[in-house]
Amino acid sequence: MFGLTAPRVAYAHCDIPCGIYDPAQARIEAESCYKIIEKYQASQDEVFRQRCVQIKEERAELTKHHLDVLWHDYFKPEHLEKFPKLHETFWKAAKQASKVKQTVELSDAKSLLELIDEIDEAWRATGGPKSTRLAKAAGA
Amino acid sequence: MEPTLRHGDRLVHATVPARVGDIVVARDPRDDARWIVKRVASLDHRLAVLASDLDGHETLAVERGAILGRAVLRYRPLRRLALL
Repeated sequence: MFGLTAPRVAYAHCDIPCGIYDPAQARIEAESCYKIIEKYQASQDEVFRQRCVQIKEERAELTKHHLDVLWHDYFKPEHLEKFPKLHETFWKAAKQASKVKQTVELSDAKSLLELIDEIDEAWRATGGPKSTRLAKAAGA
Repeated sequence: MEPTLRHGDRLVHATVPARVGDIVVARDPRDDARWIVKRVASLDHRLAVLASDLDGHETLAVERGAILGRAVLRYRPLRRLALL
């Protein structure tokens, strides 16, 4: 039948710069994780190391978020024809970002960067740079 | 969803199946706790593609099960009372 429930807010806005996508956002956060691990390994300072772990957690989460936005909002069904392994790559990358949170192994961070590079290839090959980035002002 | 819906509009939604062209309320695929309200651009057996009425906004793909219902009525503000 029909009944009323308490009102809730529903959002109509996409909540992102509309139509702007670039795997660079995810890569920058993943690069940060890589360098954090490098610095963690090079340090004996326990306080510094604790901060490394905490901030790596945050940046890895951001990596996941940026990948998620790309997956949900940029890539379209027709892109799968060119890149049939796209969903799998995103799945692996999200799991790898979680791994980067959990460990301080440089190789884990490197694997994450490699997976993001695969996604970047797919973004470029599907016309990403032209269609989802604004051109820089001339001379800039 | 402008100009059809504006910030602060109060809507009633009905838990009825969605069709292409309907304005629907759905769970945000990026955040389960959030609801979104958008127009159905296309439907297949598994996914719905949701779009804005505003030009240039990106579409969003959601599982059909994430759709909560059809927005049927705007009841506030009163001067824009309308069936949707």
